[in-house]
Amino acid sequence: MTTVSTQISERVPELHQGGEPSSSVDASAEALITVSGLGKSYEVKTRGHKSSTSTILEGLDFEIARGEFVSVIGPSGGGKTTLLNLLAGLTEPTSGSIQVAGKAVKGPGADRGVVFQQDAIFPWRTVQRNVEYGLEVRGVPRAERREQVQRFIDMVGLTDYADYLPKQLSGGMKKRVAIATVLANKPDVLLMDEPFGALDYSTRVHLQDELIEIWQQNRITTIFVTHDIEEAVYLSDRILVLSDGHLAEDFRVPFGRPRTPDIRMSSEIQDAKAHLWGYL
Amino acid sequence: MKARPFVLGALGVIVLVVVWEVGAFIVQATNPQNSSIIWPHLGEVFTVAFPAIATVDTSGSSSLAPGTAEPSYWGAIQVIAVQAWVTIQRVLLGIVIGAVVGIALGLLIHYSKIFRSLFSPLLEVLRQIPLFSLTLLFILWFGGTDAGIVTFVAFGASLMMMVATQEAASMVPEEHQRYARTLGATPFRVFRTVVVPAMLPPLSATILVVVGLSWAMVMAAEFLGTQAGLGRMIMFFQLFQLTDRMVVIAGVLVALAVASHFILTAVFRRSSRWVARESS
Repeated sequence: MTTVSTQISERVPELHQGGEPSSSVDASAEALITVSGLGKSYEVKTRGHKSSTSTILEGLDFEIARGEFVSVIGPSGGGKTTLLNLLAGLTEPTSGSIQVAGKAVKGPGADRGVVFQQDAIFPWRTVQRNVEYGLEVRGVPRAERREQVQRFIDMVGLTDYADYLPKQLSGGMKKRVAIATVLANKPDVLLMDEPFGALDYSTRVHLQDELIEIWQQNRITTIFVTHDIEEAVYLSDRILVLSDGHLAEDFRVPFGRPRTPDIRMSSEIQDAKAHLWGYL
Repeated sequence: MKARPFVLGALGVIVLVVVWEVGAFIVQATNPQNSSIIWPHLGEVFTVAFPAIATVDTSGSSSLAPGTAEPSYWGAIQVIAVQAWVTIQRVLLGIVIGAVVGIALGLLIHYSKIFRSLFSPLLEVLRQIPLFSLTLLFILWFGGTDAGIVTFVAFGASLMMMVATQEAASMVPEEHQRYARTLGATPFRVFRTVVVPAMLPPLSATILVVVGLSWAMVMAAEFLGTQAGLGRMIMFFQLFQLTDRMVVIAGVLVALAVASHFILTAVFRRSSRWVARESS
């Protein structure tokens, strides 16, 4: 597993033409995602016939540029996952709107791929057939599918495991299958909901390094929900802090790219963490 | 290590045979006048009763009758095979019809709120009825014909399959369905590529139980009102107090039930091989 990340850079396919590989994203770049006045609340039945409204998100306004890597952090119950589900189209907002590439989000779609926290990959399909799923949905013929997904399987270092069933894989490998599946589907936006939250520390660190490698090659617009500040700072260009359903801070991470594992220990990262701690 | 369950299983069979023989010895020693009628020795069953089955006249269009043929093993096999085939067809047809109807009803109840509210309570009551108490009613309504027996087996099978389908459908993990939708799958594709494969293992397990029950149901129906089949043969021999011949047919039934179980287990193994087992 440890040798995988060092080999990735040579194997990563070009997915999207993002910014220049070594520069940070221009803040004035075209907005791919526009969230305006976004709110989500639920009716909660309480004792008797009364019902009260529980507000999860309220009045969110932000834009995300094409090619940006944005993390969303905040205390649990702060609405992070709800925001991600709204972006994915898995739930509907009670107020406001979300636009992706100029189109209002109405339900889930292949333009927004999601890597969930739980293992959502299909246990009855081999690695190969899992990664092919999105292409199968589009009606790509079998032979062509095989050819197209191969590089994504190589990219996440599962070349030798293509015919394995998920039950034969470790937690980190299952995560890689999910990432390869979503990327093979060529979405405009990659949404990740605490994807590494359930993994042990060293697996998490390796997957973060791999994600950075992959992302630096294809620059896919990514929204990454996490409760881990260090993970957010290490991975992102920008960090949104959600607290009590409001946007408490829109923090621009002061490092360029490419990022290498040694910056984990840098004093800048400690400063950024200290700044963000204040909001949690 | 692997041989141990087989050895123990063989030992179990030997114990059963010994207990049977001891029982036969005691019964015959205490009832010398009608010794072999009540509890025959297994030796007699194989050497006398089995070939004697060849004498049964099955040529009559309406019923079995004592015939004049010479006892022979080959003749007996032919007579048994013809009657067994009648019973096998009833069981197969009943299970297939019952499974189709039961799965369709189960899915309707799972997916349609209206259907659920309309039929759920009624079906809940129906499944509490002891099935065998309805045997006579079915014979009365549909006659002791193939149609009546098949309907009875199908009724029992459909009730079990309906309950199992409902349960299996509601157990399909939500995360797999959401994941498929975010990869662009339509609701029908989610059903076909996620719900169906996820339901196969629990449904296969239920079908195994249904097959066991169906052998019992077909016997109950054949005891009561039919002119052919293995159940009818048992009743015929009982009429003439030929216990040893009843034992032969019972043995054939056990063999058929066991064979159907193993064949189906082998067939279903493929659809369930992805299921993670504790030890794997």
